[in-house]
Amino acid sequence: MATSATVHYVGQKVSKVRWKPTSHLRRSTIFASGGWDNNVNQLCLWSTEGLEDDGTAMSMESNLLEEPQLISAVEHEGSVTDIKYIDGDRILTSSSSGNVTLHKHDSQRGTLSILHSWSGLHHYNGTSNCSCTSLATYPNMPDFVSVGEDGRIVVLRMDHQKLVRTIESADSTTISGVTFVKSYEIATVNFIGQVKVWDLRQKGDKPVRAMLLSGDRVPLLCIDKHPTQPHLIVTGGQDGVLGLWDMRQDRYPVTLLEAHSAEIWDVMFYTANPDHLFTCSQDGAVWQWNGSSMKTPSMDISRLLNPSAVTTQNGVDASNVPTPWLSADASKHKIETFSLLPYNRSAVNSMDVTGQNLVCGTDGEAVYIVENLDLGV
Amino acid sequence: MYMDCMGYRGSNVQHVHIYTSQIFETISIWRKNLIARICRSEVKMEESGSSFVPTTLPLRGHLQATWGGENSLWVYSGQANGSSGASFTPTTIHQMRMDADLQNNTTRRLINETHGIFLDLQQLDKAPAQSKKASLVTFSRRYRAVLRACLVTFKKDDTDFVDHTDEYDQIKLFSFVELVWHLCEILLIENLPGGIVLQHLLDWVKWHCDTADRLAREVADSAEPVENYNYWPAIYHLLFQGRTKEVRDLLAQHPDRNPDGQDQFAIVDDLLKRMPSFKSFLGHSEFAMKWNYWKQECQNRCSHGDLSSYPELLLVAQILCGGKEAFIEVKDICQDLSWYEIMVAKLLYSNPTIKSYELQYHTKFCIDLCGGKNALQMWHMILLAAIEFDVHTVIKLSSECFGNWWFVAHLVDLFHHSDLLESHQTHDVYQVDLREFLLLEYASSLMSHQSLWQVAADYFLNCPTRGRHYLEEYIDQIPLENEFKAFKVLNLCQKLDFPTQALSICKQMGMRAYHNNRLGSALSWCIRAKDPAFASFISERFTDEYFNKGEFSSLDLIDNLGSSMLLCDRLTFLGKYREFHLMYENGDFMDAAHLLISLLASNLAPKRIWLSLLTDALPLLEHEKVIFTSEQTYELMRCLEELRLSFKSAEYLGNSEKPTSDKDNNSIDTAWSTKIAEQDKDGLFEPIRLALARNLSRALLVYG
Repeated sequence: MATSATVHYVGQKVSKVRWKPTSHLRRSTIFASGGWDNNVNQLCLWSTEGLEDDGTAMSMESNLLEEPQLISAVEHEGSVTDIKYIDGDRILTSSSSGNVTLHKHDSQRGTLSILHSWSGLHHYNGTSNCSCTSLATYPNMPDFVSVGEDGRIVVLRMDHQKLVRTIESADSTTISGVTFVKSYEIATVNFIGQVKVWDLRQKGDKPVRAMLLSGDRVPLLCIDKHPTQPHLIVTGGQDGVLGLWDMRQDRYPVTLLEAHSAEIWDVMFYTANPDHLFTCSQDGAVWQWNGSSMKTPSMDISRLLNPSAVTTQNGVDASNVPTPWLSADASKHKIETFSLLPYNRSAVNSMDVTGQNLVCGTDGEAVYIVENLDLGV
Repeated sequence: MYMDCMGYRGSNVQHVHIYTSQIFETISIWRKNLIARICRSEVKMEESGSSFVPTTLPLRGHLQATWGGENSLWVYSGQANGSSGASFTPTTIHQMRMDADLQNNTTRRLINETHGIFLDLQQLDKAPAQSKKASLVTFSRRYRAVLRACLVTFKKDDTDFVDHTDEYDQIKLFSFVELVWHLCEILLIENLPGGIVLQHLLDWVKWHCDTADRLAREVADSAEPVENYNYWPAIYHLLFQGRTKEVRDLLAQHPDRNPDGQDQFAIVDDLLKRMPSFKSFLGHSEFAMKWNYWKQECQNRCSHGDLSSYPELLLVAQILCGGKEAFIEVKDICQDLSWYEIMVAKLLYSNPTIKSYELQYHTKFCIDLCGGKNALQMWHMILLAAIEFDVHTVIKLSSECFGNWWFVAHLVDLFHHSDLLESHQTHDVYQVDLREFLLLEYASSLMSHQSLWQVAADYFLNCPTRGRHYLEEYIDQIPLENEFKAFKVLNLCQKLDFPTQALSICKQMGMRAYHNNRLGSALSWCIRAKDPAFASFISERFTDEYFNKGEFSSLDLIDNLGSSMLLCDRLTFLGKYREFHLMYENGDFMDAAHLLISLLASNLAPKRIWLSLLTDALPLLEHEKVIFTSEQTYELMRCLEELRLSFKSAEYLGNSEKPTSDKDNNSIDTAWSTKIAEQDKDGLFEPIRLALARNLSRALLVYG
């Protein structure tokens, strides 16, 4: 089936969208969206149930049924800065007023309620609160991490009001993104182009590794880790450059790809086939990156030509677990990219993929759903 | 004195604009005497039905009001003529907020969706001329489609809030807008072959006047359609819209109808069936012949009394004849028929090949039938103006009639692209470029909303003369709640090449970080803005912090400054000084010594910390290995002497005034000695001098 896109205008600028997680191989039909920069910001749940399933009902009624239907909405204090699904019905959100809230979705009654709330996590010396920028969770672990503009890393535990741990001066600038690398290790990106890796078991406020961009220290805005190779990290920068980092290697990124013409707001590997990754940007574009086409043949050729160089460049296990993202060819424009929203103008702040469907939210107050992506699975 | 404030929606924004000049005056007075206590009490207008209940503000003295930004006014009691002095009593400032139109969820959808269409339309000038006309119609339809979608959403939501008067008003407003837009599209934008307009008008009436549909459905749903009170009204309504097929279906259900015989029903049915409809591909003469033949037959049927026993059927036939009397009679039965419905029906049955420019001669009869011109509402006048092809009146009336600028701004833009508005012409009439004026008004009204500044920016950018200036002013006013938003506004500034505004955003964020004691963030904002003055200031704070606490903060930033270190001298010093410490910690004494000398010699280090630098040199001087060469030692000695001498200078003492008399000189001398004593409170001068001397002797032995 051909790729098709549906648009729905939601009446508030969308800062985050996340699909509800589903059990293996099933496509999710529910997603959450968060608003920003409104008088009243909301966390909304949407259903895309009518999109394909009952084609008969669709043709009878007006086109309106094709658009996502609002299941539930709840007011959110401050702008929504991040959304994380814990499981099928629990949603964590972070806010620009420095709070983190755990919501519960009652699927029977279709309501959203607040289970727990941590307020004032991020602040300037206790005087005024500041934005919590990002959250990170790890599957089946009660602990999660929140980072903010105050450069703090806060470790929290589900259902515990008390903070597990705070790394007070983790960063002298804003930490704009965080992700779990291993169950005890997190990686953060900051305002001055640095990637830091923290071992949560260790005391002290020093990272175990720090890596940085050379040249202009452009702010990094988002981060994701490779689903199967935890040493591989991808970041999106304020200047639209996609950075690929090998945490076993030296302190600079392995590859920098000039991608978008403005801020990359969200980046993610496609979990089911990590040879694909997605970026979305302030310039209004959502790109799908397909690295699989260059993977095998180009590796072989380069190894034949210069075997020693390849091993040093691609690290130790590049030969047994080939991944396109760390090879030097990535910078030679051999990665295919597809623009998924060619007609969109307004900034895309967030996106998420489930199955072959992508959802993304824009500053133009629209939510786009792109279906039937070609993801090589 | 008490004040009554009446709120009326929609036109608020305009009123605020009238006040602007006066407001700046008042604000300046107000700032001078900032005694008033601001009380942000929101005075909500209470609604009951469609009229507003006045809210009373307890204010004494002369009433003053200033524009409070966005959609609000600050009202307070003040003194006459702004006379300052005298006694100022604290007063309460009331902030009156006005709910502006178009700011609920559904209308925001309209704003955002049409924003995209608007931008697409601006690209049209690049398209080839021949396809332009057709695309304009498409654009017009896209606008209308969004309007319709909003209406549908409203109606869907309406089931939840049945007596929500606000929503009801919005629905009414949108329905009018759609009606007017559609007519303008037909008459002014659509390409009508030969000017034949009737088919479009029929679609127009059918699309917007749902009484016919409603009645027909009601009749069809009832158990005994014919018994229904609305059976005949439904037939007349359908007939007025030219829907002969449906009329015949309804007639066929009548119990008096003889299924296979020749009765009055059959006669009317036959007439309806054979009614010729005009197709442009047929020749005019051929149609005229058919039409006249059919018309003659209708008239024969009426006059021969074939139908006289059935007055309702007779009326149907009389309508088909197109006689005036029939329409007067129908209007009596169906009171809610509007003049334009009657006009379209009358033209359908009397003049089906009417040209669009002839329409204006047919309005009077229908308007008189509906109570005359005085009974018309404002939006009817817009329709009339459109029928008269008077574009300017359409625009003028629409601006007055609809409480927001959305409609006029977009319609005028569309007219502009279809070359309906000659700019020199509008200049003569309004002294401004009309399109630009309306777009500016619309964009300004969007700017008054917290979230719509991004949409507004695109509209400003499409105003060639003054848009950028407006935008420049507005961008400065956008509140930056967090860095995410700062990035967004900054991106806009960079896209539009507004360096001053971009710098001001970075400064603002930097200052905020500084006030919140986040020196690292502050410095990184300066580096981003490439703002040497502010970076110097922050670097000094870092240096101070080091000398006060004995350790550096924000090492992740300072250790990795890279080339941005070169932004200003102070920052270079900071980075290099940190490098010196690193070298020292790593036991790299030779390099450390070298760096220290170059910091002192190049004057990168501010003089007030030279003593600290010289103290840093002490352990190196006393190191068992000879680290400083004799030249380097001389340099250090020079620095020490210069430092001692400079204590004398007025600059160092922080006394900018030049000494003018002996008395002053004396005091300077005293100050000098106290300053030396103060600086040298740890008694460092002597040990440093001693160490320098010792090192010199050793260096002379080693290096010569």
